[in-house]
Amino acid sequence: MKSFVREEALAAPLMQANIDTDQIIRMQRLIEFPRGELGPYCLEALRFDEDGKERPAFAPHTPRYRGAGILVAAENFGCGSSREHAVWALIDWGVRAVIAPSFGDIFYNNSFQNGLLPVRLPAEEVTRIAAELERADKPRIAIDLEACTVTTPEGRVLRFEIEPDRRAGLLQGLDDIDMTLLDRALIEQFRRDDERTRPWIYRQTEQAIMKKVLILAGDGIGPEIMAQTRRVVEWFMAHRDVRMDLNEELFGISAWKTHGSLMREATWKAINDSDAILFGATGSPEYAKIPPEHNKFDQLLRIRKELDLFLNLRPVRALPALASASTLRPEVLAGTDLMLVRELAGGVYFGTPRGIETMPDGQRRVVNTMVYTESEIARIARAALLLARAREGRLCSIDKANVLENGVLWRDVVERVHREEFADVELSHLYVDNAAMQLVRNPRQFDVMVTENLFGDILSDCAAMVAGSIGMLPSASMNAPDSTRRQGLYEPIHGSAPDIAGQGVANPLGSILSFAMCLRHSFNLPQEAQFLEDVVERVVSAGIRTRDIADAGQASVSTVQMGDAVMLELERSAT
Amino acid sequence: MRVSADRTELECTDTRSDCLSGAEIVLQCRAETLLTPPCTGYTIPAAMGLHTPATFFDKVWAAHVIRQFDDGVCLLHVDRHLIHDLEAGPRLNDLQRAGRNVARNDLTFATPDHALSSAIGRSTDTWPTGGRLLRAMRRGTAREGIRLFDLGTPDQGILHLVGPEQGITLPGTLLVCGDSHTCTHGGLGALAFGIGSSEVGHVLATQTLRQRRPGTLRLRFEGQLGAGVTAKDMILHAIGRLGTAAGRGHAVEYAGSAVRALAVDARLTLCNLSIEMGAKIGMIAPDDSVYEYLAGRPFAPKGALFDQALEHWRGLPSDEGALFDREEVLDASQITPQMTWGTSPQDVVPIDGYVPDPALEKDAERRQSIERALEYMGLKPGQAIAGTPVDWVFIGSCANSRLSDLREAANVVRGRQVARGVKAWVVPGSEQTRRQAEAEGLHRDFLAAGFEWRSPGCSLCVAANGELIPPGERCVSTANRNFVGRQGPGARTHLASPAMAAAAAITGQLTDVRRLPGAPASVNA
Repeated sequence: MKSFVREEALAAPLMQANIDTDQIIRMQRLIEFPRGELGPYCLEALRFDEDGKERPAFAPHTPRYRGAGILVAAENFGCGSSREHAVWALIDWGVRAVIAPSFGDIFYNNSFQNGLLPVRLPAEEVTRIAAELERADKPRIAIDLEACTVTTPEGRVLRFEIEPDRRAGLLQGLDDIDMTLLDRALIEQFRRDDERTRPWIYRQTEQAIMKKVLILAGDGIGPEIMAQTRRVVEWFMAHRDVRMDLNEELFGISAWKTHGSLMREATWKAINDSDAILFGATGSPEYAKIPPEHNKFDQLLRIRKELDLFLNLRPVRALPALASASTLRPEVLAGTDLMLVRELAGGVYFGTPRGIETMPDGQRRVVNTMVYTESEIARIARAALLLARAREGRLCSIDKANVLENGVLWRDVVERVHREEFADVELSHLYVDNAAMQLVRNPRQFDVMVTENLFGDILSDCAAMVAGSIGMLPSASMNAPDSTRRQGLYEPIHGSAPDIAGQGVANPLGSILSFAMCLRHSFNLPQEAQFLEDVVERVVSAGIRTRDIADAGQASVSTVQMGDAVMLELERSAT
Repeated sequence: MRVSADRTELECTDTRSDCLSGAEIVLQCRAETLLTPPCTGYTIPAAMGLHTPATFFDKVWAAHVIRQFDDGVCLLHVDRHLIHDLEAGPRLNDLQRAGRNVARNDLTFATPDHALSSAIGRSTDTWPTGGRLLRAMRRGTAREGIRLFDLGTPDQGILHLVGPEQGITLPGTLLVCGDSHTCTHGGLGALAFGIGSSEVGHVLATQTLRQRRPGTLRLRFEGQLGAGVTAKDMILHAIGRLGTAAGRGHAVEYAGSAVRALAVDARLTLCNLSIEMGAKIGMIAPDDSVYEYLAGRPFAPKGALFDQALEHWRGLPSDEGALFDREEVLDASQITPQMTWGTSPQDVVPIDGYVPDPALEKDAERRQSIERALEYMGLKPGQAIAGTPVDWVFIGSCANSRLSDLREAANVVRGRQVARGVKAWVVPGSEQTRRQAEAEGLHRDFLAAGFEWRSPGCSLCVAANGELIPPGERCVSTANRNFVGRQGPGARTHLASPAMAAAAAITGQLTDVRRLPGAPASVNA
């Protein structure tokens, strides 16, 4: 809010009693125009005739008063309905203060919430000021809120009365919310005390408040990036109201080497018990050395399947600072903000029959099966439509209905769910081949995209180029909420990158941004998530880059140095 | 019947020295608060050692004071903030524009109700204006992580039903909402009141509110209600006797044997119309029926936490000998089924009574007001209220759309037909209520009789959703306001209980439900 200390401005008389808030701004205008654009409609009926021509009798429109920043009005200015828009309209029109014998109560209060000064002076003084304005060479008035004085065009200095807290707020440019937030420490103290006396106000059960979070760093660059993410997690635990029970388990090759098992019972139990899993990466040439009886499944796929993590969210935003890291032209990327929703628990990844077999003629043959049930399609469609509803309200569903029956059923079910439950969302369809092209041709056209497992895998790599580097992209995988909780697994989209593992050059930001998604979805702390995302964006904008996102010839930082930069920016932003 | 107006004159100078907390609150002097604004008087510590004997209201208010300013305004902690479709989108957008965030999304709950079509099979855009608001509400609540009971989900409904049903409303909580009928939640023992748009923004940003302490008024209903008489009749009767300004500047505590005998649903109805008596706050001290009602509800405390809460709640009722700024007593046994005749809830008479004759009114202003109301309502001076033909019947709204209301109406309707020419709607207040009513088969009674059985929302009470009573048509409504144009331009509204509304539907005229089988039985005090 703009403060008001001292203003010297052109002043215009508007000596008509009982100008109500409906006259100041018509109901219709405040539906049509947002705050900031109400100026042309302020006092519309007084200013213009039925044909929209200026009324010559309206003083503030005459040349000597045009552009006045102070109005001198008659009694009961701003009476009538409580609409705050009346104050906004005056401000939008350029008015900073109104001098009148009296004001409508709510209008008077609203003025202080928006930086407009209402000055109350005795009626005879207001009349005299209006007369002075009429005869002055320069109809200007000075108002000094510190001294509580009005200096008239003829140089008379008049004192006015104003409530001390109102005056203080306006001098500092603080509205009621700002004033209350000055007591932030007191409010927080009250809440800490209150939470001890009345805990049931803040939570339903004794334990519910502690979320269980499990770190699985995994293979390749996983441990390197997760070490940096863990620093960020611990910073939030220490400095923000993020309470969790944080644990870590070995996963992948390190688990094999330590426990002689890729997934020991204790790890599996920890996974099942957790509300959120922060996952690093999986994949290593060393898996080939593990005896097949100990290496029956891909353990990450097993987690996805067992926890039924069907909903995979991959947000893709184009950061201006990283435009040069992409091979796409900056003007194509600019403003992209899309969410790719990938079905994660079905399709060709899990369908049977599958495998390579040798046929009687000695040649080998391979089979994979893309399977979806109606209910599997419906639940991912519902999740995507729900997400679209909370964003721009547009969903693009991707399939291959021109070739695969899988796509025919997909499209049919998505359309049914849309028709029956989400008709308010704008739904479109694309074939996956076209979708891949559209993603790099014009990514801005998308709000939310939904697709099946394999197509989602491919399209999200494609979308990575929009963000500049696959190293920057986070993801969240969630199951269906039951009565008590919804489990989520958060991991960067990139893999274990065995080629750079152990060199300390991997980009930890995809993993750190995955923790931001965890704050948003598992902790329901969107503000904390946004805070972390902003911190990461500032670090990158400051030119701090790991190798994958550095410009050609630009010096790059190590994984740990990137972690340092994020920690420093967290500290700086928190104060 | 006005038995007593027990005004207690008291000099309050007792400054408690054993004050343990730094935050002290100053209660205004109890003397002469009937019409004058509060003044500073004795000082009590905020959280503990409340000056005793204390009223229920005093205890809850004191537990929420974060600080008191020099001008007597208190900064209060808000335990529960409910937001609806008219406010949510615009206020959350204001907040974002100002670069602010919601302070406590876990204490904020949202559901659309005002600008929503109640048509069966409705969707977001069935009422397009509401659709725009609902979209903004969805985006804003998703952005801030606020729990939204959305259209099409099993828990959507009128906020004043959803709060109690979900166990969001708890005894001793300070609950606010940008809707004047928030006083409803006082039926569960919450200190609940409606707030304005800027205040909604303030609560969103800070989870606190600046508020001047109101005075206290105890309204006792003593004795046993007669057959066919409900909580709605109690409160309409009280408003008729005391007037729409009676509660201005006061928090009303409803007490007395007839109030204690009311079930929770009925208590919510009683408190709902507090604002029509001029009081922002109406509340009833919690008791076992409230605790039983709350146990097991989704957002109510569980296990040991429930027991801890229970211990606290049991200490909330007004202490013996607690002083109220004002006290009124009404004889419950004398209350009969009520029907409004005019354009204010205080324009009310017993169903066997007569519309007033302005000619007999000495006060000129009052005479003119009666004349205007009669002209608007299309009624003749001195005519019997019973027998007036009706065009519409609306059973719904945050006043009377709970399961017990629907049961009372169904009991009257069962096996009968809506009179020819009458359009009759039942709009259950929430999806949960609708499901429960359907499980009992109540919807079949209504549908068989010729009622429409619709989807939850404010519907015809507020006429902000495309649903209106046509000009000049007469509607018996179970809602809480019969203002000029409330149900649509020129619409004529008669407020009454669900049983009375049902009786009007099947007879086609304003009727004493006690003459029909199925009228509510007497509630034993």
